[in-house]
Amino acid sequence: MDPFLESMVRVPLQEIDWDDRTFEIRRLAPADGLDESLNCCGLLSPPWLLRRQSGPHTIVDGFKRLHWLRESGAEAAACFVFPVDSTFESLWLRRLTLKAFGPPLNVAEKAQMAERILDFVPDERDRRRLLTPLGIPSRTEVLAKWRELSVGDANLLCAAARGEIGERAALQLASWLDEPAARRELVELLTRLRCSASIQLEIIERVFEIAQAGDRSRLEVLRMPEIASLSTHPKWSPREKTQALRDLLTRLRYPRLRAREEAFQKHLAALSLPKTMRISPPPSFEGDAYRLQIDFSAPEELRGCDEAVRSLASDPRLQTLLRPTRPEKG
Amino acid sequence: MTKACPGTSHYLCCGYKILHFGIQCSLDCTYCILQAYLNQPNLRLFGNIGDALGELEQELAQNPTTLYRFGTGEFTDSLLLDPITELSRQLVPFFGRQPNGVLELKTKTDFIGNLRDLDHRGHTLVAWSLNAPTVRAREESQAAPLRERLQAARQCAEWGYSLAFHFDPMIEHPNWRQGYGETLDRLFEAIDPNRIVWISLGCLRFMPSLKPILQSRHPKSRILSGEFIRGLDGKMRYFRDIRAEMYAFMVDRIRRAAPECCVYLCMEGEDLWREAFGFSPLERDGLPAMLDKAVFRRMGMSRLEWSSINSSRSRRKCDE
Repeated sequence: MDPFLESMVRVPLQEIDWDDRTFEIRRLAPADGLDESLNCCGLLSPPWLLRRQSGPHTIVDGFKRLHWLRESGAEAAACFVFPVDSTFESLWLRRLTLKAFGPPLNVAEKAQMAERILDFVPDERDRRRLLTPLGIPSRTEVLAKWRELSVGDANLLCAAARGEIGERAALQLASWLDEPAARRELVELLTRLRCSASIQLEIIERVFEIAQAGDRSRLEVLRMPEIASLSTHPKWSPREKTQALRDLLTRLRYPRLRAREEAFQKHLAALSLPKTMRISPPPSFEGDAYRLQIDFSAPEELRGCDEAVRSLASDPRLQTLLRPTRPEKG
Repeated sequence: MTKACPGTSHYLCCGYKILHFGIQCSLDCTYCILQAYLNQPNLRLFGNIGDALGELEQELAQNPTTLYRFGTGEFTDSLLLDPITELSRQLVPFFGRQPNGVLELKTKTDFIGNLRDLDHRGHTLVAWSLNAPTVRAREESQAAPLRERLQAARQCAEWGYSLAFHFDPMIEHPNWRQGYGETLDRLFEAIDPNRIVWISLGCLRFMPSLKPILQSRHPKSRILSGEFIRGLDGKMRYFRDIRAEMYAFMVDRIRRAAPECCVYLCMEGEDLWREAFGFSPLERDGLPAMLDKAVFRRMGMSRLEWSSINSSRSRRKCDE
């Protein structure tokens, strides 16, 4: 029998060190499900404590449950108590295993788990076993990124825990160690925009690359008047603000491609095509396969289009539309 | 151990063949595609080169009217390990004995010591990858400086080797005209243009999977901040107007110094060829034929009749 299972003890709550947070993995977001369960049925599984040489016990697992008990006026709790000679590593391994295979974790909890696994679980197989249910690869460089998130900006971690910042976006922002102010501002902006995880990632990458290309800081990019004015626009919804921001960032990131697109639209408008005909360039103007689309519903209409196509083919402005324009001097 | 240049769909390929003697490279250029291609960092050399050369000799003999252009610099640097392996001492005389084969050794090093006194018989061209000075310093810092590459090239020319140069990958950066212009000036100051069989141009392109690798391995590199779009082959490339501008600049500058030199674009479409050169290789028997012609014109392959190769190509074309 595992000695751990033989150590079920009724512990007075006053013999618990409530300030010792050694084994805490913070949720940083409301745990509605747990609160509901406790209010309904009380404790369903015993918390874990570590007996010390002298003085009160250390909480290993069950922080929220024990606090709930104390606030409910209970005087003691049935707990598993680990012996005083338990090693730190063995306790962490148990604690992390329980967490990894328990209820779903939020991003902040996963980040703290990754950090503890990196610190306290040296065995590669144990690491993989614990990380697989979290969906985190066990490579050291990946764990290091998660650790950056865990120990970094508290605002970012909380926003990630609440689901306001997606997992990949949070990991990306965590690496902005050299620009904490820019990170803070972008977290605030993304929280306000409430956009999807993939759009968050796109915005973060764009800001990073625009700053890099222009040899300026990310904070300078984020504080551009255009960005400030659209993000505080009094009438736009978060969705409209997000779209305006994406358009602006794309324009800044791809100035020559955007200029070419605008020139194409201008020349296209000058051709005054019938509404049933459309010309589209190849994606990003790569290659020379332009497309002409014709809508028709009857043979007579198609015959009319045929006339329009002939006229278009001999229009010198078509050549202007297709001819590439040189970008500004780089 | 030999295979066709992997090329890429939708773009024109030079049609050379790879003599595959090893993989990986320790020069650690920031933009290197091998970072994404290969999942192992160790440098590996194949031990059965003798077998490969035997097979190669057979293939060349079976197709005597086909010109084979071979290169070894696709998955590693051709000369990086040559001071240790002395592989060039095997390869260069081997190709010297093949009437219808030429070897291109592509490098960013100046490790040419083994090439001295080899019986190359005009069948080996030694090629250097060149770049603008700031790109050299920032993105290929462990490769030989430009001065040393050009000194090595000049030395090879003195030993009777033909030369080639590859401006690939060209990287857009502030003052890129000045940078690439300076490298071209230094190239033509150091090298007689008549010794150059070809100069290739290719703007930076990469598989999307390289991006996170590059960001993590070379976080200070700025090459990813260019205006990249997804090309027709799925690789990331500069927006085509940027490429067109860079190629037009280079072609103009090269033409001024070396009007007769064969210049080609590596993995580009016909539209960009027309903008840079005013023609598409497809109008002139294709890019491989252009490069074959350059070999005959500049490398003086006397034992192989150009007319027979040419007529063989035409026959093949008709058969197709």
